[in-house]
Amino acid sequence: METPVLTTQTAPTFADLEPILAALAQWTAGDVDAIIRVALPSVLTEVPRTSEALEQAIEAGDLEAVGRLAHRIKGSVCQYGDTVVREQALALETAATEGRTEEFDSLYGTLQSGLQTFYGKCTALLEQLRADTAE
Amino acid sequence: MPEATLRSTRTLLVVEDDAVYRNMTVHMLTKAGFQVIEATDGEEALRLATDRHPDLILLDLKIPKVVGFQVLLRLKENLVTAHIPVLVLSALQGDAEFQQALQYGAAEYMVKFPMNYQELLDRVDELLERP
Repeated sequence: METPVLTTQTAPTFADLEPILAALAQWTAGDVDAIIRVALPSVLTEVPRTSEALEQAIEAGDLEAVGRLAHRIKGSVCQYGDTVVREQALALETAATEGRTEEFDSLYGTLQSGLQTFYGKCTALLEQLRADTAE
Repeated sequence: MPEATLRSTRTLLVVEDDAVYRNMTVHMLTKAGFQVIEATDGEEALRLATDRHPDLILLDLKIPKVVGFQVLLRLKENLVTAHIPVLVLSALQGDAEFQQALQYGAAEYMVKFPMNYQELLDRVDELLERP
């Protein structure tokens, strides 16, 4: 699995990771194996793919696809306790619904920034959980 | 019959276009002992429901090609699939969506966010036990 590479962000602290872990524990009813094997790898693989498709939809001016893909990112991150990315994706979805195409580039840039931080947290949590379970 | 053995005889169809959510749902249901098949859009859902006769369908409403409400209607209009219970899983929290899903023949409606898989398993077991 390819994981996104962090470039400029500082390393996430436990306080950054705790909300994600709490949300995943709630989602999986405490199944750490499912978090390590499926939940975190899935989001780190699938959301970047959706984001890439979203960028292409913006370039193509495909309003329906922009709205649908932003909605999908919003849904994907919902279970991970990340309200920042959720709101950023919602802003882009709403802009698509209302036809505000002139705002797409700016909103997509903001979403990308939020996603990079989110990926960094998920990657750090995955590494931490793998280390914990290996002990 | 023990619960795990009973589950292994049951086939569930998960209809979800979000791969993150679908992967997790399939993983958790398979781990619980069910046979699970999956569809990523409405057309595939209707085809699998007709061909594979699942015991229960877990249906997202906002899916490509044929939207969830249309899938629900077509399932209930088809004699081959009309008897299959449908558990609607949706991000939509409005009472209108809930009422419409029930009106169209859904057996149950659950809001996806936040979701707890133990609650989902309990609901699935309950639906499969209904006469």
